[in-house]
Amino acid sequence: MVALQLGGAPAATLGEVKNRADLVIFWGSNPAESHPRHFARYSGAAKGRMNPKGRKDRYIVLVDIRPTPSVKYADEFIQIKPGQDFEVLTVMRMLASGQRPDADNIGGVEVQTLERLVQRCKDARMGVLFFGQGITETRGKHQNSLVIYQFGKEMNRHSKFLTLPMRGHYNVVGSGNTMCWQTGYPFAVNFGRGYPQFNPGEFSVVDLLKRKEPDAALIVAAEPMDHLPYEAARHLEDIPTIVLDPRETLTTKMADVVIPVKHAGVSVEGTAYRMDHIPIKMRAVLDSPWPKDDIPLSTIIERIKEIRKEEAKT
Amino acid sequence: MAIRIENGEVIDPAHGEDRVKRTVHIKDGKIVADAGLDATVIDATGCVVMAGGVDIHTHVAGPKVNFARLMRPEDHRYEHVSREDGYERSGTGGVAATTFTTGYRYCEMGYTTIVEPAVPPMGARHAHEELVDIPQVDKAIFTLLGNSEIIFQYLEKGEMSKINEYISWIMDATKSYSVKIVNPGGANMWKYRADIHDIDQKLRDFDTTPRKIVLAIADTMATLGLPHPLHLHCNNLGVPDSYKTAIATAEAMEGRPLHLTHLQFSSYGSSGKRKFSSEAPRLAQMVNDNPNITIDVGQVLFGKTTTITADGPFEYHLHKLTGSKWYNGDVECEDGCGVVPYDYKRKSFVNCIQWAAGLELFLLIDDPWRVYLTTDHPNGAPFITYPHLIRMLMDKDFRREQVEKISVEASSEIPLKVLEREYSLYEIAIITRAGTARRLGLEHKGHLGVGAHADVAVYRIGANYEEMFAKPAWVLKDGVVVAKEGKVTRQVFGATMYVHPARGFADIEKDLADFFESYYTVNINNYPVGLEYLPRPELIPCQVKQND
Amino acid sequence: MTAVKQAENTTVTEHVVCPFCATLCDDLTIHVHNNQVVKVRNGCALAKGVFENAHKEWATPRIGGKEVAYDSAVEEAAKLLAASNNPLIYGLSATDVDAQKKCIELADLIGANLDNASSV
Repeated sequence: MVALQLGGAPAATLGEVKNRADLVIFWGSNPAESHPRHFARYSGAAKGRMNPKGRKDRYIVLVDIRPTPSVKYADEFIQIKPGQDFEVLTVMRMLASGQRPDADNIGGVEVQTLERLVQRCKDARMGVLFFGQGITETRGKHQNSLVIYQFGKEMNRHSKFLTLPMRGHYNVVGSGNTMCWQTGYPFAVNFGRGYPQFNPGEFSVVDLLKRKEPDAALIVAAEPMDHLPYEAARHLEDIPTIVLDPRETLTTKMADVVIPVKHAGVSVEGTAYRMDHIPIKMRAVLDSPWPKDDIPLSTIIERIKEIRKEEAKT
Repeated sequence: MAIRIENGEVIDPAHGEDRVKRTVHIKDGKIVADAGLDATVIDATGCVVMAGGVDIHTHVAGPKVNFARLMRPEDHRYEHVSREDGYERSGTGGVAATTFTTGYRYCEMGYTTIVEPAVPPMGARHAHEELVDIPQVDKAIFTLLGNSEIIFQYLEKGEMSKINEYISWIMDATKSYSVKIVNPGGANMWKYRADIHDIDQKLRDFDTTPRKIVLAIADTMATLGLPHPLHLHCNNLGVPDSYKTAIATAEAMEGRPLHLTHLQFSSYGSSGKRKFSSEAPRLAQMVNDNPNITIDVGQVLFGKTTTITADGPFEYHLHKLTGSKWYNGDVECEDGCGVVPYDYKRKSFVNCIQWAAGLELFLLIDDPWRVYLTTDHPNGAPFITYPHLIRMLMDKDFRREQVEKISVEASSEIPLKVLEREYSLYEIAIITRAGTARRLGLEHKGHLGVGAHADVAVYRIGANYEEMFAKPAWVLKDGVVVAKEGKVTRQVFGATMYVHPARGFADIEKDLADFFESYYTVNINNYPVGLEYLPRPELIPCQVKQND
Repeated sequence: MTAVKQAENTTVTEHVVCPFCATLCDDLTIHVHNNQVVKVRNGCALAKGVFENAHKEWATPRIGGKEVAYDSAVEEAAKLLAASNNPLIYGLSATDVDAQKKCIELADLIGANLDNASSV
């Protein structure tokens, strides 16, 4: 996200990949386990306008620090040393601009291998670099994404080239979009001054909790006790914590207040944004006795307004 | 609820009223003949009373606008709307403001209706979700169809009835108001890193041309009776000799109704020492000679902004030129978009020519009913600059001061220097509400006749027109006072206007199912946007000609 | 109609969207019997996990671990948030846009910190 804010990106919807891409690179992503149907629907076997034969019309490269179950879907696997993504990508930018590094091996990869990969990118009808948590959640974080976007933008001098993040939670893209159109920022916002301020590192959840700053928490459809580093999540045990969730989780079990809600996409309709920012309306298949989560949230908003009015009187 | 606005000077060009002292009566959200004796009285002494402003072209919602917000955190840093100042919802500004802030700011200038003009069909759901969060104004979207591969396939086979059926279907599936074409064929060619440079150039994968695309869609729109005609962003926009493409496109229409949008960006020639010149006088002449054509200007004003357009190749070239941030977003089977920040500088020869060309279009097009005030927000400038632009049109001394500030080299070359015309308040009312409402086909907006929506702006007459139009004394939306002295006093939500054209021209159900299966990644059954996305829908009827 | 009643207490819904990962596959067919998913067609193993386990371990309204009436839990939440000086609202990534909008509105009202999984 920060990388996108810093420089932008060459992107497209996934149908463009299906219809046109003849070179697909997965970097720090293991779609066979994290996004199992991505390959069949969009990026690997999918048949499209210029890829009538699907898989046969594409060259697929997997770049990761260790072999994963996704390797068997790739034409080429490039193994790099952990934490060396930034270095390898920087050398690829050099090679793309016609320079050569003073070494034969970068991050565990022969420079010749990288040269071949860069040449494939330049020659592609449409090249796509999908990057996953292996690169965004390791050392360097947004610097890694930034160098990928830079590589992608520079590659557009030679070929049609896209750089697309493999997002995780089904509607994390929706939360970024919604926050952005209402506040201007996709995450890490603080309203303490009466208007939105943005500062990752200051207003981001892990940093706030590690510094023990919040004095109450509302968790909506997330499992911080499971997903956040314990040194951050443990602060939730010390402050009043309210959880809205359809199901029992580690977080509901420690919460002070639990408000059960319908399960979006399972027991109630609602909009979610796919990883390429396409919104889709989800359907409902089960009944649930609880309301949809925006209903208790609305009640909380109205009650707080009343409480504020009462306080103002006294 | 009833209101009488008394003692003001009514400017209502739709009824030929120019500063007529009369009372405006309002009841139950409409203009009425008599609001009754117990109506609340607004004393508009020293004010002009106009219908609320109607913006025909402003990028305020949808995927590419949200990328512009996302990509420019620095744009939000110093401009914000705070709850501590009494606003219901906070937000941030800068050029790509957040949704609530956008609604408040329009309202505070006396605008009550806005149109987001460039939404790819797959982005319609997103655009509607944002429109729900824009308060104070009525709104609508135009759907981008000038790079639709479904239409291209039908065009190759000459299947016009299927194009009619598809456009009727897609208008409904996107809950849209009209059709926009951006760089016909160009976004499709950009998917191969190419562009279109001539209206008779063939596309790479489809046996068709921009001329054929534009004519087919214009004819379909007439057949469906859409209330607003084809809204067109020409090929070759923004480059020297773009004016030739604009003229060729206009001629190709052979008298069909056409709205050329942000024509300023298509008004450049290649004469002069720098091979970049304003050909606005030629385009103004073309508009004067062709009553089928209307335009909005897309005025450039100096300062930093963010450019947002469905013209992907244009944005890539701008990125290469400036080294600025760049976002590109191609949309499968449909269109594309780009976002690049830009700074219009008085020292830049090219920027000065662009600035002057817009003003020249305003001043040289004779009929104010056919030229509308826009900045192609935020491409030429953010919409909050409208009052400044109005002052430049109304006050030639002020305009001359501005000309003196620009690059000397440019100021010696521009036709603007010798133009003495000053817009009257009556003409301003036409180019900001009466004319736009009429061209949009909104019978109940842009005027103050009985039956009109009671969207009203009351401006205190002053010598400085910029201040006058920046802070209306009162603004009413649907008969309710929503702003006073240029500050929102009440949050309300307007309607989203859409059309529902007739169907039954051809059976395309199987074609669409096959096309979606082959080329889209979204299930056709999950594609259409339902009315539940429009909490306050307003259906605007299509006008189908009976004797065709 | 995409939801078709087949036998008593059994429905089959087509074109279902999977709320697990951001691939957001929208071509699943889900068979439900007695409000329990019994068959998932077109879904991957992750999708099957979501739907087939959806009827299990439903949360209940609670305060301090004790089950309470729904409205009491909501009221308690309002009181706790109203009393907070520096609240945190976190999550949003696994629910729909309407809920996300309400979280932002609430954060705006109470001057909260607001974050989603993008920062993690």
